[in-house]
Amino acid sequence: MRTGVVRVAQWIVGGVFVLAALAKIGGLDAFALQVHNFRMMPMALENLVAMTFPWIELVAGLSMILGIRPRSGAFVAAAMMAAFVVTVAVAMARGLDIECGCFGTADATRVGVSKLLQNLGLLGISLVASGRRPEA
Amino acid sequence: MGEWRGAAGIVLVGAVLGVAYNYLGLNSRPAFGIAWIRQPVEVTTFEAAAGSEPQAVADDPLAAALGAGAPEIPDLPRPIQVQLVTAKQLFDAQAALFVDARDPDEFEAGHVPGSLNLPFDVVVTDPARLEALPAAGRPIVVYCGGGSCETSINLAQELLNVGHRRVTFFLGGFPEWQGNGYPVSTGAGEAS
Repeated sequence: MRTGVVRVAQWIVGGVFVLAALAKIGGLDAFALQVHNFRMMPMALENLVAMTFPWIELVAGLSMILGIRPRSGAFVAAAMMAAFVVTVAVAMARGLDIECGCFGTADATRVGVSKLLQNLGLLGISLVASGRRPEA
Repeated sequence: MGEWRGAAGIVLVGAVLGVAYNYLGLNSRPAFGIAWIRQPVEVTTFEAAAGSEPQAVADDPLAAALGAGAPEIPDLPRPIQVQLVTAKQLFDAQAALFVDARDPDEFEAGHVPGSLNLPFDVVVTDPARLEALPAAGRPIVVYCGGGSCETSINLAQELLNVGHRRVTFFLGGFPEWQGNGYPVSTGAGEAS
C-alpha cells in the first residue's frame, strides 16, 4: 500500500484516539461507570481497565500522529477497535441500553448499529494505518 | 516482528501511565481518580432496614383509616431498596418525591405522576441539579427502566452524596409500575 495513504490513515486514527482518550481521562469516574454498565468483566477488573485503556489509547494515538513507531500504534489501535466491535456487538445482543463511553461523556451516543458501523470503519482505517498488505 | 514488540511497548507504557496518573490523583489535593477495585454500591432493603421497628402500617386499621398509611423510611447512609408495594404506598400517601432516572423521551412517553425527570447521564456531571431537587424533607423514590437497570441505584447514591436523605429506589422501575395498572402521566410535564 502506498505510504501516503498509510500516513493519512495514521493521522485519522491517531487523532480520533487522542481525542477519545482525553475525553475519558477528563471524566474517569463517569468512564468507569460506563465500563461497568457493559457488564463484560468481573467487577474487580473494571476500574483497572478504566484507568489504563484511555492512556493506552493516548500513547497509541500519539505514536501515530508523531510518527514514532506509527505502525505499532496502528496495531494497538486495530486490536482495540476489534475488541470494541465485539464489546458493542455483545452489548447489543444482550439488549443493554447503555452509553457507549467511546468518548467518555462527551458523546452520549447509545450502543447501537451506528456505533457498531463507526467502530468497524475505524477498525478498517486502523488496519490500513498498520501498513499491512491485505493478503499478508 | 518489530511492530509486535512496539505494540507491546505501547500497551505497557500506556498501562503504566494510567496507573501512575491514578495513583497521583488519589494522593493529590483535591483528589481525583478512581478506586483501584470497583466496589458494588451498598444497599439495604427496606424490609431489612425496618425489621427492627414495629410495623404499624399493616395491621392497624385505625392508623390506616387516619391516613398514616405511608411507610416510614429510615434515615440510612445507603440507598434503600423498596418493593413496588412500598413505592405505591408512598405514592398514595403523597409522602415521597419520585425521581425518574431515564432519558427525557422515555419520561415523556410515560412516567409516575408527579415524578421529576433527572436523566442519570446528564445529572451525573451536574451536581447542582442533584442538590436542587425539591425533596422538602420527604423520602425520595428513584426508579428507571426496570429489569436489571442499575441506573436507579447509582442515581440514588449520587443523591445521597450531595446531601439528600432517605433515598430509596425500586428496581422494578416504570415497567413494573405500569404493568400493575398504576397511574401514569405523559408529556414533559414536570421537568426539573
